[in-house]
Amino acid sequence: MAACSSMAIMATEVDPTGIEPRAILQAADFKNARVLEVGTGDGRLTFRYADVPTSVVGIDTNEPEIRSTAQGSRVELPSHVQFLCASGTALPFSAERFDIVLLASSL
Amino acid sequence: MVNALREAWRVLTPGGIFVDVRPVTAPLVVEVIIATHAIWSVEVSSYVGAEDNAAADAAVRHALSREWFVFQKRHPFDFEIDCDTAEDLKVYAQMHRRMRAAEIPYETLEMRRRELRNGSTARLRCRRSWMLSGYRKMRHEG
Repeated sequence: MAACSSMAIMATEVDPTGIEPRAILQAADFKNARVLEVGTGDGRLTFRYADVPTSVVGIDTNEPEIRSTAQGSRVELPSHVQFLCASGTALPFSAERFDIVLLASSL
Repeated sequence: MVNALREAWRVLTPGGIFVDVRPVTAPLVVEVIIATHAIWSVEVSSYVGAEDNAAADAAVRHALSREWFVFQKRHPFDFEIDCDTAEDLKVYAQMHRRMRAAEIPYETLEMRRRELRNGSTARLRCRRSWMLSGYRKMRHEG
């Protein structure tokens, strides 16, 4: 059974009370921020805070997983969220592009 | 890890925030719960992410010593995973590198869950101690 994020009908609920996204949103001012999330994986965390910032880019080196995340979310997520296959040690972005960089269990 | 922090520094705007959130090296606690109430628990002391955490902590210390970032805040919290059965917890643990090698007593957990359910729906809750740390980018690379 695959893990999921807080759907009561599933056998496994990850962070059912949403304590992780709450803690993250208190760590910085996400409103109007451009966010880079390194190690976004299946987007479990991304989906839970993405409605606050101006933009979110989620990256992961696991290409099948990040492709699945991007394709799976295309209908549901707004256009300010995107997912890319990239490494945190060689970011494909210009300098000073983001207001917040989030390493969620990926350091 | 130091390279990842240097890259985070590079792409952040001046004064931007770097957030590091991850499990800490501490025992796991697995509880049998009915609704949201724990009725039994066991501590699993064989958490094996110590090397990963030590390396990450060393990388952060390096970044701070080079004045790439300045410490802002720290917030500990318990990350919870609720599962219907011990087998579900096992599947989850095997999917996650930092839990995979933890010596969780799945058979004992499942036996206790079945014993204690007493006509109710008893589930398992795994709690892990996590730490969120926030750092602000400094102007110069150092």
